[in-house]
Amino acid sequence: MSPTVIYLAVFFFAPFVIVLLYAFGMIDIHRQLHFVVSLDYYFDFFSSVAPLVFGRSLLMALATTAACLVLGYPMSYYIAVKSGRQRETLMLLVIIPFWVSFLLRTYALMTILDVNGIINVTLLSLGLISQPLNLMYNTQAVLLGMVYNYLPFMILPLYASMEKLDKALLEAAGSLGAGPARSFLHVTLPLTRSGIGAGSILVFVPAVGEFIIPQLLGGTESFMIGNLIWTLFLKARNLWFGSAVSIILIALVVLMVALYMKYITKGEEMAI
Amino acid sequence: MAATGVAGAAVGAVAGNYYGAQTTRSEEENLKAQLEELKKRGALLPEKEVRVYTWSEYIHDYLIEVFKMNTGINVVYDTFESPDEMRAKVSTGQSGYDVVMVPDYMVPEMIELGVLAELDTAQLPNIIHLDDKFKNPAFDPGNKYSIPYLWGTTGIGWNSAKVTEPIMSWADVLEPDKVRKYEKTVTMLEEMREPIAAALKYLGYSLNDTDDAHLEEAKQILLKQKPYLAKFAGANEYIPGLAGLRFMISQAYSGDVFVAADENPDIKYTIPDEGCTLWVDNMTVTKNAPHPVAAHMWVNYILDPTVIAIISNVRYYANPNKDAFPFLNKDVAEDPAIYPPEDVYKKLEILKPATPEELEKYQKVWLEVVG
Amino acid sequence: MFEVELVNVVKRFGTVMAVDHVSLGIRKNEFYSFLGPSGCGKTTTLRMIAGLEDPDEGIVKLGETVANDIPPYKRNVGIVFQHLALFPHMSVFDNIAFGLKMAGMEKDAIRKKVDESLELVGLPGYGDRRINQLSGGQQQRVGIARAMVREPGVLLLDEPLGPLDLKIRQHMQLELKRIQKQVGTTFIYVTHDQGEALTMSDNIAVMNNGRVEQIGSPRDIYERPKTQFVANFIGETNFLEGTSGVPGTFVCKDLPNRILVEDGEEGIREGVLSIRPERVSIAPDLRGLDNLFDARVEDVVYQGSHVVVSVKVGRNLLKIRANPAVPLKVREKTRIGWNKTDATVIKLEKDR
Repeated sequence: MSPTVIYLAVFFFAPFVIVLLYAFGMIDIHRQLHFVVSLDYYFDFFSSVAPLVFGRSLLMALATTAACLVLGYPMSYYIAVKSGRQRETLMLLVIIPFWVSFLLRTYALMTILDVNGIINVTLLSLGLISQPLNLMYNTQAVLLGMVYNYLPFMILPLYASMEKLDKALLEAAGSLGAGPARSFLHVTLPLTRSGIGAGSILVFVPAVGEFIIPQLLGGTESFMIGNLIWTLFLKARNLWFGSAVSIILIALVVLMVALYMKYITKGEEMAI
Repeated sequence: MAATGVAGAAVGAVAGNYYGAQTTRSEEENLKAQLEELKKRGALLPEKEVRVYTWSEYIHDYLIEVFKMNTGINVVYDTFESPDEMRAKVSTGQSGYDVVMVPDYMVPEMIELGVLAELDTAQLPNIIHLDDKFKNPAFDPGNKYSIPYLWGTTGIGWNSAKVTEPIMSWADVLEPDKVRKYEKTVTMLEEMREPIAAALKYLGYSLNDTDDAHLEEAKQILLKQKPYLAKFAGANEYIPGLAGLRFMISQAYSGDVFVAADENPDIKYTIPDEGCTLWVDNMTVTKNAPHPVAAHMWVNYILDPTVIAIISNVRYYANPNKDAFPFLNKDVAEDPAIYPPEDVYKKLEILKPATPEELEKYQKVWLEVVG
Repeated sequence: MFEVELVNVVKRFGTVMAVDHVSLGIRKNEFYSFLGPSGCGKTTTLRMIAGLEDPDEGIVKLGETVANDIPPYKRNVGIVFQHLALFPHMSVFDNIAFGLKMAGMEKDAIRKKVDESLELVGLPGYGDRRINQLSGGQQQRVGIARAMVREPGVLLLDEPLGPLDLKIRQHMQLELKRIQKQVGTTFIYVTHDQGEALTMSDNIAVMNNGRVEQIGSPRDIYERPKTQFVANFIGETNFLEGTSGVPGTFVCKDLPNRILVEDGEEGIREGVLSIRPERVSIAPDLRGLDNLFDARVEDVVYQGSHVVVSVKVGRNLLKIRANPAVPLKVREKTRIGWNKTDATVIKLEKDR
């Protein structure tokens, strides 16, 4: 029994099995185990607000992934075409925020968006507004927080796939009459597909279950799956329904990733 | 005579400058009698220590010193920041603590877990001072396991400088017309039962009402208010939020709002006219307490009207002790945020623990409100 | 008019002068090679013709047009890259068709042209294959097909045969020559392999340290090297230091006699005589040779088709290629000689 297996068994499998048992109603309120399977909690799921909340989370995760892609692709490209020293410095700038905890970074964002935050203070002192703007507690603030936190997860794999890209391929395309736009479309984009795929998954999967960012930056319209599960476990103390929702979330994400892998990523080819 | 003098001197020597809060001469005098009793009993006791586990900032240290000095019993006083922390430690049954502070909603759970001892009322003669409202609560019928310590309310914290009309009732917070101009600066508690309780009270029902039609009405009230809320927020958000002008109006716990007021004197607390939740923090003795007799001595000590009065004076919390009023400072006794007028006091209710079916009802409503 | 012309082109990388005032002209339908060791500037020069680098000074002309500011995708120049740069995510067909697609050609026309192109390079029917399914030689051909299918006026090849095995390389050299002759495109070929350059080229520009040392036909380069570098780089040679004497003679420092040389190489105060090993004859067959010297055999190395004999002449050590049938013994005294037309006098360059 290697240490890794024991570690995984204790900290991953055991809790996961417990959640499964609760989701199927096999543990009762006195923490006794019964061998009867109940699908009640799954039915409860569909007759509650949960599907709406799921839909909202999926949309937010998709929006975050798209935004990270749109912002991250040019940033990665910019870094990838720079020479050694500049590249290192730029990558360092991308990675440094990770030295600070995720929670602190989100709080930092709050201090910028707050009514007493930098943006409002500046606008007020410049006389551009007379009342502080309410920049937080809405969907936009959550999206901003998500993109801010997840952007490096998109940049890193994109950069990796771009770095591998043989620049000679672009020169070849140019010599064959493809200008910068068409070289990008026909050579760079297809060859960075693996980076796009990896980055998208690295952003989408955790974004779906994100809870802290909507909790801190979101308002009443930003209640997401993560918040739902948190509320069910800690406020409503409904371990059964909470577990069922968790299992459904996992199943959904696994399904989406599997479909994605099958249809979008088609396998790697190295430049010769 | 000499003994009293020494005791008096001892009290005098220790009194005064604990954490900047002064005790008055009269308070000290009142204590003296109590201390005589303590001294007598302390001398006979085999147990030389008592371990107390409670909320931080919940006592005047002077009182600890006095107990120690006069009984010879050492008081080990530990604090927790959240009841979840406390529950985690104590529910093992091996916490090593004698007296533990438990919030009302957690008492049934701890009783069920079997970690609380049944109290020996013979050792608690001061129990006669308890106000009837607090005797025999729904969460611990007969006070078999718990003794109320301090109580508070779940009302409304608001910024008196920025909110043009004073907030007096739930109507001022729940009605869209009233709350429209404070859009995005209003919060309700992020708890399953409290916002529902507020809506029920507003509608004139009991906050423990589980009638489906009434709950539906309450839900509609909350849904109408929802567009004007910034969010549903807990203490760690609304305390800095109120103080920092991020929120103007928040459903909040009384003690928290006083903390915010320390930072920002514009912050006020109101117990709504329609009534609201009354919550109680309780002293309990653990089943495996190493020093059960000393534990009961401590509880009885706290039950003394003069002792609990000092705590209220210093910490600005109301106490359940009907005989403590003469010893309360004016600014505490006459503050309607701490001790509301009789007609409002009558409308305060303690949250009744809900059955699983009732919990499901609340859950359904709550999810539709927040989701 | 030249198909491609470079006038005083300079390219610097930092403080290094990669291309140092290069001027040359390449005619239509020529097979023109840039030959030189690594770092001599040949690839950089080629890239400037392609438009992949911009010259710091000087003019690059394609036909009548000054091409300095024209980007690569607007030049009618095809490139076969050193490592081919075939598009890994496209099939052979799509690789070759790429340029035609960029030009906006119709699908049917493209298909026809690509098929023709595959025929030309000897890979008929390979259209559906993936690049990684091809051998090195096959990939080469695809690279060539891709670059040529657009019928550019000029095809640039950057050491395309480098990674190939010897036998395949030799075969491909002939193939390239054949294709060039068949289509008639101007080929500009970069290589460090002098054998390759001599085999394939109509004209060679020998480069070293960013400068063009000599431009000429393979025969000229080989038989009449104008600099010490060229003489040394192409094939093997012997150097004898000395000075020009009266017209038609060369005086070597430690050889007794004057050496007879061809006319037209006077006035070189400090020079070297370059004589190739295979042009020196060894006794007994020395009939009719202009220059004869006594020599002593120092070493004989058997090389199969010939022997390499080291002889001492005066204080010079010469290498000679001789027929293995000739009996030679080390330390034996013998005579060697060569015709004056077989040697060249070159200016001496220090530190070469």
